[in-house]
Amino acid sequence: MQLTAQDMTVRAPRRIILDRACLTVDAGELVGLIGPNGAGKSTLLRAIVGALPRHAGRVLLDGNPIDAYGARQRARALAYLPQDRHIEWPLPSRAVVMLGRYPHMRGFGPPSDACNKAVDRAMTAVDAADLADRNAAVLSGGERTRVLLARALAVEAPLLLADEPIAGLDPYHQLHVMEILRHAARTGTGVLAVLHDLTLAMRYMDRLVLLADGKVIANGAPADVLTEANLKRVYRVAAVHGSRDGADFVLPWSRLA
Amino acid sequence: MNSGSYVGLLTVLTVVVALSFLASLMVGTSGIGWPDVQGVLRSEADTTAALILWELRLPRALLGAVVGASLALSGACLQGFLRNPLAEPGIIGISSASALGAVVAIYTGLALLVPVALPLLAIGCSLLAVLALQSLARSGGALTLILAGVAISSLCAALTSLALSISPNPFASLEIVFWLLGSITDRSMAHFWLIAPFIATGWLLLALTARPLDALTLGTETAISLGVNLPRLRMLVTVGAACCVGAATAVSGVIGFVGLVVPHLLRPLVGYQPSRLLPASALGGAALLLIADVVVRLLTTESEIRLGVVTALVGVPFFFYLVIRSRSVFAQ
Repeated sequence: MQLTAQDMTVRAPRRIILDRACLTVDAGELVGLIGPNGAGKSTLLRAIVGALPRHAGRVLLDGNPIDAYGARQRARALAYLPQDRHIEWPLPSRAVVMLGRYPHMRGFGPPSDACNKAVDRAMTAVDAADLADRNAAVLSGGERTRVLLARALAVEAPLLLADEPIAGLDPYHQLHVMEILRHAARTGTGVLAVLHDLTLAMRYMDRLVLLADGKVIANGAPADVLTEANLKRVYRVAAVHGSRDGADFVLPWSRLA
Repeated sequence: MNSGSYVGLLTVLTVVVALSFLASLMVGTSGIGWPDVQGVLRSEADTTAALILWELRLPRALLGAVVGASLALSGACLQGFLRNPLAEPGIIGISSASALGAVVAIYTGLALLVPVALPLLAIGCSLLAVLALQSLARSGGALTLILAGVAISSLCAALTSLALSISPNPFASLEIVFWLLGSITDRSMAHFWLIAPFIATGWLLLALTARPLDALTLGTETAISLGVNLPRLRMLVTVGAACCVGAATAVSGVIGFVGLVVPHLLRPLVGYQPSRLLPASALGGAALLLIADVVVRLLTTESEIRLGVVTALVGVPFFFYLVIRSRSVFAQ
């Protein structure tokens, strides 16, 4: 399924947070949404999902306006991992992941076989099968992120939006989450992830969308977006560009005045 | 927590409710034994036992079950919706608002003229309280919620006191004061039928919140992305809790802490799942209030201890415990 966001505009009382931002995510594509703090990345994700009202713009799923979708239909097409990682009640991890099946269930009664299998698949995909019975409220940061990512994967939606999925994780878990996202994309899911780590964005993403002051500044292959000029203009940093094992990388190095 | 042990828990709770209901029918100043109950059930004769059972004990037991279930169910729902284990109709001011509405209905004589005005005014006032609460404590944490509740409680208590102090009839005032303490003594089947439609509406609305409350465990953004209609959910919780608490308070006065104690005790037994907590809490609340009411009858001879006093005496230490445990939350 293809996601298209056109001319997305969100206003706050005194300023414009998103200014006619456009992007697309194709099936099986891993797209990174990058930009400095306050650029409007999370706002764009929220506006696409419908967690925040937009003042102008359209969201299309395979060319059909999302507003024509019912809430359940939309939920089954778009999975969303928000920045908020709070889990209110000390539920077992498996019950948390099962919440991803919400748009597939009706009425009361125990979950169907299909739901149980989807939850198994999702927990296996994030290597969290052994966490199933653990209390989700006291998991470590890495475990919690994986369980919540499994919750989003359990929706088995053709599109996955993840807001800073690797924030606050150690390098091992950051790489792990990036691999999970890449695997999701390679199995056909269109993935849009907000990232702050430019090095990992460069290495893992198929395409990057650079946002600054609510506007899309650049959109294309990582090497074409993370240019010296863009890094200087948008991030106000100089970076080291290099390559290892045939892959290019970028490493932010110093602040510019 | 698998489905099997959950069904087991609901079965045990149902049995406890049934037994305490029977106990409520049989315990009292005039001894009515099992043979009497059986006799009355077979509608043998127009005995004193039958009169006591039908006119006094049955309404009392029915109200105990229904009021307890409504209060505990409302507590469980509000806690799930506000994601705050301290949200209890009594603590956050909904009960005192309902009481104010009921007092106005009794005080003005409206309740005598049009009986249905009693639950309607109580429900109307509790609706206002829930709406005020939600707008005051929309984005705040536990502390904001409790403070908003204190403010609403204080306002309602002040207005109730005002009504009492300008009352020309001191006996009427005294009656209202005792009524406010909370009791299900000397109620009739008329009271039960008066609130039954409102209670049934409240239960239905709150039952519809079960699964959305589960989704809300991960916050509002996740819930919305899962397809939860948040404005609809807010409406269901608001009107449902107002119907339940308003109607319950209209006939029984203020009976606090049932909505705090029952969900808190049952939460670990249902695996902390908000949806599963709802039916369990309703049954648990019915059992708790029936048992408390039987204990009240066993303890006293001359004048009964009021039910609301008993639930407060049991509930307040519980509240203290929860406050101490969540001090870290308050400190933020």
